[in-house]
Amino acid sequence: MNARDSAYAALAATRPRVHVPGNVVEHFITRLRAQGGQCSRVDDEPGGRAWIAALAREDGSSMLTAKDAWLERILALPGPALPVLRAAGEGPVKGLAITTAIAAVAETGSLLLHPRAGTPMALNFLCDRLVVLVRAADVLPNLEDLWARVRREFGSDTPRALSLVSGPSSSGDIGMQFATGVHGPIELHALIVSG
Amino acid sequence: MQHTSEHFVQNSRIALADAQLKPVLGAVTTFLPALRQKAIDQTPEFEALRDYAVAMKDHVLDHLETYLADFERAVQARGGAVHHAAGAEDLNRIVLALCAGADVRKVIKGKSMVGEETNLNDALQGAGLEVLETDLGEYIIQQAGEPPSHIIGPALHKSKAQVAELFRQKHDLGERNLDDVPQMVREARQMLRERFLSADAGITGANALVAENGSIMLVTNEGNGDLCSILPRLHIVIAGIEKLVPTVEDASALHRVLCRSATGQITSAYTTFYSGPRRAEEPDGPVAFHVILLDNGRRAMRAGKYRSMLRCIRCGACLNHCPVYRHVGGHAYGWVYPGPMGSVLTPLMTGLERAVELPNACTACGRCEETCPMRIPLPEHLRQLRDDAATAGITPRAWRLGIGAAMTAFRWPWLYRASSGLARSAVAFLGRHPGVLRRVPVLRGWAQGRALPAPQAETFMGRWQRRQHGKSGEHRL
Amino acid sequence: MSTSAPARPRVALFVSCLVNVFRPTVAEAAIALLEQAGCEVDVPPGQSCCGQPGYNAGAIAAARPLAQNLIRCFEDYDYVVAPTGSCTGMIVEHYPRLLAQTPGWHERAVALAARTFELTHFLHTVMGFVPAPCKGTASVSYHDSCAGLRELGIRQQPRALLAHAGVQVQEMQGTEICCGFGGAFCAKLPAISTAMADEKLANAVASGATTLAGGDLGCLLHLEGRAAVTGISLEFRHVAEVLADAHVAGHARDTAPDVGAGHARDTAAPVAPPQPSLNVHLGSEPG
Repeated sequence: MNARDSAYAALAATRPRVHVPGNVVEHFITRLRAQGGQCSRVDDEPGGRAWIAALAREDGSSMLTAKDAWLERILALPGPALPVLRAAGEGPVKGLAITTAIAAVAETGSLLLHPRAGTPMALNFLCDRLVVLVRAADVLPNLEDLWARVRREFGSDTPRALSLVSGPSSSGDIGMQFATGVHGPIELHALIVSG
Repeated sequence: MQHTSEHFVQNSRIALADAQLKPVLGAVTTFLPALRQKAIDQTPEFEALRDYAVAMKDHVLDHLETYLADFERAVQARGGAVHHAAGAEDLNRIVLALCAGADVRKVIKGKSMVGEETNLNDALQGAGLEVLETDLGEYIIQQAGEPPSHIIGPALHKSKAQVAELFRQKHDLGERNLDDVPQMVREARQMLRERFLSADAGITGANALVAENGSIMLVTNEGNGDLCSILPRLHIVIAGIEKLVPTVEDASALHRVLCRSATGQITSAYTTFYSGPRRAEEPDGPVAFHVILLDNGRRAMRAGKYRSMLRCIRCGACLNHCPVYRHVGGHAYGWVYPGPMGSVLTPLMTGLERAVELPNACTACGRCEETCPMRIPLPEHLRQLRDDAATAGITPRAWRLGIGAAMTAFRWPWLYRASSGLARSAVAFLGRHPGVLRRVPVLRGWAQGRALPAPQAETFMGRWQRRQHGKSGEHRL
Repeated sequence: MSTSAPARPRVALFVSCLVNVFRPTVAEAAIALLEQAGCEVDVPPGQSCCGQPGYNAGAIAAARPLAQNLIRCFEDYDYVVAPTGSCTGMIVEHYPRLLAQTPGWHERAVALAARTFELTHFLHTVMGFVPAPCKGTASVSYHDSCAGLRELGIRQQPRALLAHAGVQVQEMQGTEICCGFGGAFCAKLPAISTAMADEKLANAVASGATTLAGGDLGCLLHLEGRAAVTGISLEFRHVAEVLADAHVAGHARDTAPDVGAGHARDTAAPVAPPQPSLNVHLGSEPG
């Protein structure tokens, strides 16, 4: 190890973490809500399927879906009728969209989104309402835990984009008044699936 | 933008006389500090987070060139390219060449202070390109034809009513209403959406450059930076060389202090790490990814006594907490960086002779240093700049001679006592003759809007000495 | 901070230029309070300006000999006490930095810094002084000067002393925001300086207090000069004057020790009690 890297190793060992008190999932929910996001919890995948159907009914329009094996499995479960599903990448991005996160961070109330084959990143930033499914077990305490997960998952070949989404598109640029939907999602909804 | 820092005094008088600006500035410099305090109260580790951020940034500055080389290699390994710009014009030239090479006609921009530093928009428009700012605040001031007044909220100097009026002038509103902020935001969303989708190139800044993997950290609440990075076929990142960090964990460490200090948030709504162009299997993303690293005086800063200024993460906390900024706002400072950090950076980047008043625009109250997440000794730097200005002979002669004479005289206590006595008499006289007072250099500044307090009958040291002499005289008798 | 004080510490009073020239009664009040607190007070005649005006206004090197002079003048005392946060901050915070590269002087600067205190900090924290209560409490708000507040952590000490004296401070809004004095700043950028003063004065008036007390004469003179022009009627008093007055009001006059009592009680001229407030020459125009 050269002088720079050994100095860095000593330094990095002192990097503080932000303590996440209590239950990690609860903390995530509190944080995301404080940032203008919405959050729901379901006990299992059929519960998730039912929740999505209810939201889609309420929304009324078609639903844009990310190409994701877990999401496809949930949507294929038996249950109430779903709206027209449009695969992301076909046609313009608007209205209700649904995707998945490989991890979430309680410390910041963030969902980790990354580009995948068949799913444009624009889905996350152009739709009006974004629903992100995440497994309760994938809600991690700190950003350090998130990066450890990313390193485990991808090694040195990390995705081209790693996006921590922690609320709807918002701005205080006019009169310092918080407003959502400046460019991207007017609503961000995290659905935490246990079991 | 036009550089008017040399007219700071006149600029500030215009700002002080602006009745619309006063309540807006008062609200900004009250509300944002309160939000920051609330976020810090929720973060018991905040001081430790600051300490780490400072130590990490100092470490990078110690090894800047090798980390830059690592970053460049990593960007190339992911199919991107790195360019080096020594100055503002170099950066603009590189951007123009990249745009020309990719047949770009329409450019969308995320908010970038480096872009303001190099006056990039003028260069692009001068070359016939269409440029659209997409950060809501930047969009507003672009429509208004104004420079930013704050490094985080470029349009914070505008009231809601002024923004609504601007949109009425610039947009064809038809039946649409602009009665409240959500409606104005919706209006901007509709106007910008089509422009996002039709852009050829996206230009963004970076909040950090990660040496280990060649990614850039982009922090926004609107998601506009992401759209600029994802939708056009060319993504150009412009950033100062000081934005480097070793690892993604370090970028997050900076992010923690950045969000809390800037807007009192625990995190921004969007924080994305981008590296390289789109990959074969991805349906979107740019086909080319370029990073332009700007020096523009930074290496010189690193080599000298202002090195700690390179720790600055452009959070704007020093602006929000500065009592001078609170009264004059950002435009008075006359260049892209206002407030305490701007009063250090503007002279260093554009020359002390063009900005000699800025280091004086400080009461040394210390609130900026107390607040700065990177613990930059801003008052110390401003003091040093005043010293540089005097040494270089830029400070007005009357000030230099006056201060020099006083400091020399005060080396001898007897001369100090004698001059104190004279000063007391002079002040007593001038207080009774305000017409004369207004002609005395230095003191005439005081006389603008203030009465000169009357001194008591004798200096304390004179009284005390007389008393002591009286005592020793009695002993002798 | 707790420092174990000698039974009767020898204290050097650093008077400060503004107190010396404008308001000697602040130094008199400081001496009276220090003596009541059990100190032996001296005013070394070798003292001069601390060098801060030059240090802050582009003459850093010229401040160095002044720092060396004060160190020589004060270093043999148990403590140095000054009725100002600003000049105390210069000695405590800036002398070690100013003399960091001057051979033989850095240690002396550090040693002096450790024994130098702002008046209210010294009285309250080091001496544990409890001033006598006063009758007919004035309604007082307190202006925290920036150097005292941020360089020295002076905030609670003057309030504690005032509370002991029976003066309940009526807090105003924005106590952490600068009043606009800023040394040379007030003369270089008068329009901004007076705008800042106006906000401070409005906050002080809104607190309902009739007296604005503070620990730094610079801020007080600046605010008083502005108030005189804008027609705001507030009394501006150094906290030492308020506290010394409290004593005078609460006790028979003859129990108050005279200034210089420790040196030559029998021959010292009686000292006039601190004057309530200073006059202001009216007639200047608003900027």
